[in-house]
Amino acid sequence: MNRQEYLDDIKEKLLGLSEEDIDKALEFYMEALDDRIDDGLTEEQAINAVGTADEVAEQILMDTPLPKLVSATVKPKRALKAWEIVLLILGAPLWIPIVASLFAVALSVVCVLFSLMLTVIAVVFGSIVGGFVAVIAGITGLIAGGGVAALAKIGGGLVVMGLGALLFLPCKSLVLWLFELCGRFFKWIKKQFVKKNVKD
Amino acid sequence: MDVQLKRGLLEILVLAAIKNDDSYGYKIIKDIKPYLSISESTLYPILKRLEEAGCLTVRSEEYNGRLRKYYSITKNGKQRIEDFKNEWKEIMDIYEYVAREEQ
Repeated sequence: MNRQEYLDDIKEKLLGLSEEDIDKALEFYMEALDDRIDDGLTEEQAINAVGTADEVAEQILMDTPLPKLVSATVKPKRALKAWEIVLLILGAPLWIPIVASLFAVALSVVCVLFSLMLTVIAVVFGSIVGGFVAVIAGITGLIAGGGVAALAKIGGGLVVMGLGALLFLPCKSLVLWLFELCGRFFKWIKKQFVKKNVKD
Repeated sequence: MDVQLKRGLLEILVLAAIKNDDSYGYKIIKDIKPYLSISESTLYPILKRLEEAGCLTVRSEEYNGRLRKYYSITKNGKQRIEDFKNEWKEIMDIYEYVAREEQ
């Protein structure tokens, strides 16, 4: 593979990104090759040292924000032919629901993760606040002459508060873990788009 | 080395490579090679990220009849290096404690 083929290859794998982004990347890699060739490497060796076109494209695409990446991948790389447009329109009842449901699945995964986080937080918060209120109510009851029932209330409140305090640390790490899972999920989606682009 | 950690360290290494004199892609790679070995395909996104974060500026200059991009550090970039140094002072203190002689 020579210099020009290599640069063309990179360009093709980046198609869909803005022209400015592509030009900037190409200028950079052109300079990189020239500098290494000036240093005494052959064209082939320089290309190997800089990284394969796939590596170059993957690094750039993985660093591109998700929305930009999606539009770059979805955008057709050439003008659509008339029959393709007809097919696209006729097929709309099919592909719109499919795309919509894929989107809905991704959204619900995120919703489930977030509601789990919220539940965990609510349990800890609820038991601490609830326990505290029960203790206060018990003390007031005791002053008002509530007797055994008021004492039981204080005891119950203390137990619940204790449970809440015990649960705090494990729940905190659970929430952090769920949050990380969410991030990994987004990364995975991104990877799907990049893989498709690089293979093409 | 942990991927996330390497990524962060590379950004600082690149800033350190241009902190005294402006530099260009291939020279940056050669300068940081003794510490972390990378290729242009890794360097490019890092430079782009640093530029977007306002840590460096880029200008093109002619060299040998072709264009070469030179990178200069900004005030923001210098601040990033200072932050890094302060953060690692804390980490080194922790290291001293963790690695102290067993008794």
